[in-house]
Amino acid sequence: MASASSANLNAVRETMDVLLEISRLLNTGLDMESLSICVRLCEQGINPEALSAVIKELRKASESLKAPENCTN
Amino acid sequence: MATLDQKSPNVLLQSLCCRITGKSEAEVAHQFQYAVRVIGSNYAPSIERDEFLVSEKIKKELLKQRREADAALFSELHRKLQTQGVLKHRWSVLYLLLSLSEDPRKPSSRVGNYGALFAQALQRDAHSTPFYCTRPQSLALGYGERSAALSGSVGTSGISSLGVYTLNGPTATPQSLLAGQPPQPVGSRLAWALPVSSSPSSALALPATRLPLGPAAPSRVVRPRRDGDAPGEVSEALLVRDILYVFQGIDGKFIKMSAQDNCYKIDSKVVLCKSLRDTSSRLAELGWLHNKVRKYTDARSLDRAFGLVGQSFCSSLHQELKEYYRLLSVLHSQLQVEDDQGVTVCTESSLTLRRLLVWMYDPKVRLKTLAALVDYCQGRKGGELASAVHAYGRTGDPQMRALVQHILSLVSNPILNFLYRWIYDGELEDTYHEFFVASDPNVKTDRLWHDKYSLRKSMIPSFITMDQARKVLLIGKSINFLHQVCHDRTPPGKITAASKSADTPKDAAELLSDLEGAFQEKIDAAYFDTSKYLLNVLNRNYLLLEHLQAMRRYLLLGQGDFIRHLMDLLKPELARPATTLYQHNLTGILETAVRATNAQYDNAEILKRLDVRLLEVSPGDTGWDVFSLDYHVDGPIATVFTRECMGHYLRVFNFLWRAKRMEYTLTDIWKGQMCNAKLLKTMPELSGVLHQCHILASEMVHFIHQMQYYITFEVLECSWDELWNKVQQAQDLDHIIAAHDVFLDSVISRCLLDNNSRSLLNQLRAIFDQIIEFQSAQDSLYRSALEELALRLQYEEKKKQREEEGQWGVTAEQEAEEKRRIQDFQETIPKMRSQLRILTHFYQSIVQQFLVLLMTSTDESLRFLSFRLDFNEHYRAREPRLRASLGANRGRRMSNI
Repeated sequence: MASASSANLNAVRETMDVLLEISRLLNTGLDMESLSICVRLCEQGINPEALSAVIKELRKASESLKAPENCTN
Repeated sequence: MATLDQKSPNVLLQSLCCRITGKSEAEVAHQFQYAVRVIGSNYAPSIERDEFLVSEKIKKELLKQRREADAALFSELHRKLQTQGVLKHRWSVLYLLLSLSEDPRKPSSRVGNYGALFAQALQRDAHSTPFYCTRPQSLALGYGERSAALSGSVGTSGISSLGVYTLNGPTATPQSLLAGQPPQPVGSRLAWALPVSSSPSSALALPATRLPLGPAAPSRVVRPRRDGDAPGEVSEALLVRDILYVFQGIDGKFIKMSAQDNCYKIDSKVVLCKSLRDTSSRLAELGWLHNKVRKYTDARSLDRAFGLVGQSFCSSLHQELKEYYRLLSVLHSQLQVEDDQGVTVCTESSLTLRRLLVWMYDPKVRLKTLAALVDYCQGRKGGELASAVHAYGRTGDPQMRALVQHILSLVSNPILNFLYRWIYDGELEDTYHEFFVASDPNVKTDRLWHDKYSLRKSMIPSFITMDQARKVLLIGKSINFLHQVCHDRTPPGKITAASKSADTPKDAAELLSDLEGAFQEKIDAAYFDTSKYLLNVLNRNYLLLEHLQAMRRYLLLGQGDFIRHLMDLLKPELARPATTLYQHNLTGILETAVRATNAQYDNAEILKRLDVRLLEVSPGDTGWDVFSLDYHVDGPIATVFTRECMGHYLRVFNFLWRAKRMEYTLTDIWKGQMCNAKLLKTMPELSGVLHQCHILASEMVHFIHQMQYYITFEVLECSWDELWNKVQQAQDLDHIIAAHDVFLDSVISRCLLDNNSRSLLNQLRAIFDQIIEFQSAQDSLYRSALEELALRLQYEEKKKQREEEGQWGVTAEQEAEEKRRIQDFQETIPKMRSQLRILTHFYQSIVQQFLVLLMTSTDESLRFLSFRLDFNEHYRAREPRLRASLGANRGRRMSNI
């Protein structure tokens, strides 16, 4: 049981590695954690289009939040 | 970390929000709320769930960025991913990565100042929606079960609201409007518009090649939009959508049909920059043109009285409109594709007004041509319509010409069908009076050739010449004539060898392109075959030529021995008053004459038709005045020898018969003179009178001989020769009829029977009357002279007898009586002389008048007749008018001598 779960874990890790590599190739700007969250969301059947839109929005929002901070700093 | 434990998506989302913004859960409440809303409303993707497609897209993207090595690396990784099989939704993950990818060569778009914008929009969104849920667990996520029907509307609305934020900044827009257009799609579009006579199959294939246009060129370029648009302005995309409706004649949101100006107008309230307004007005013209054509076809296609030609015109217009609709549907689907791909994948070839302007250029020209055609064809039908269409084919523009040719070939197809039915079967199925041959159902078969069929001049298509039309009329007429009048049941296929295959529109088009050659040839062939066959039937079965000759022999006195014998036999009968004549007696005499002369060897068919006819009797007429020969004609022959023709023949016969009678009478006179000359030698006192008689008689004989010569040789023989030549060369029945009419006309006019020479004819009649009078005068002269002679001989005889008896030859009483009788007789001689002198004088004055009229006649042969009549200038010497009119001519000749 333990070996099976560890094998499964290995496979998941490898998959995540591959995905991270692809993500890097495509210059998505996602780190490991965000990527894993995204993958999990996708695996649950969430529309990737919407997800990508949300991520973009979030990035912009964080930048806009940062920008005024920078300015004030 | 990377475990795939089943956490609720909301929890995951929240952690994602925290992770990306780098803030605590409380701080990202707004963003989280927004994310939940977006995700929740977009549970069904608008793109295809195809891993392969997505991976291909990724590769292409990498190649575009000139990172071939990375592309290879990606495919390697992708393969690895596929072999591991941990992920269920690989395409989804890949797609997400692709969407988030950025071109490293470009400056990061994240640097842009979207902050304010985002915050603004987010706030607006937050207000516009009810407070959704702060607790992540409450978000329902049964994606698979939720019906896809909701997705369309909700999904697109979500995207369009997002579309505002995906702007890449000002740099992207001009690119898509200008040279950024991929050359291939435009080329293919033009190629679609170019083959004007596009067969339906190729046109059908085209949309398929067009469709992949959008997805084939993926890029991150967004929908073009003008820089610095005022907030109230209508975007170009909306205008494009509007225009597409207007193209079909449907009012758009901003562009509407203006009833009073009869054109499409942009709502004046709409704020729009001038160039867009201009462009869309120019495009809206298509809608107007479309409406025009459509209105015509709609109004006409149900109108049955519009006829077959009109129907095919409508259907050709429909065909063109269908092509047009096909183009519109392609445009629509393109618009749809763009809408669906919405935010992320926009194409460089998206629809803009300018692009439409270019693409719709050719369809516009076509529609313009159609609209002009419709205008021009208003109120026309049948052949007239075909002429109208044909008139539009005379243009230098090859595309327009091809279009019109195509329509023309469709329009003329029913006409050609009519034509072939007509020239090969003689059938006229023209319910709507569209064909250029018209038939009058009231005309009976005996006038079939002359009156039944006629040309409808207005319906002759302009590509068919008048000559061809006449031939076509003649061919069908001949066939009908054969069937109905000649009762010839030969199937039409045997008459003409020509094939009847030319029935399809394609052939029609070919024929139209080769009107001078193939079409003419076809008509000519049918014409020759049919006419030849008809003439053959008429000659072989109905003896047309024999009848023609019979006319000449009997009605125009060509058969000399027969006429002479007939006159001999008829003379006692005809001398009686006309009222005592009986047709049956005369018919008997006619038969006798036929049997006794060479006429008996003639065809029984012809002799059967020969008959006697008595003209209307007026008081005082003798048999000579009313007698006439007749020739019965019926059936097909009557088409050549019509009632009018027979009337002319009768008139000519009467004239000739009269002239012949004069000749006959003069012969009798001469005979009497010869016989009596010797007898009356014993009466020297008569010699003066007799001499006078001889002179007058020879004058008359000369006149009548010259007249007869003129009539026989100058008139009949010449005209007949002409007629015979023409008949031998005739190609159709019309030629024969025309030649025959010309023949009769010339005979009538040269025999002085027409209106122009009425005065001449009157003089001639007077001369004839003088001859008759002279005959009776001379007869009475001879009678009295012979009586006297007989008495004298009797007296001498008696004297001799008495001397033989030994008595005195005569007593003084008898002698005195004899002397007195002789004296009485001699006293009558001057009376006779004066009567003869008066007669001579009368006769000569009439002849002189006749000569004067002849001299002034315009007909050359009549003037020659006058020379012949006055060959020794006997009359000229007496008649000053003759001298004057002959004047110079003869004077010069005299002086030359």
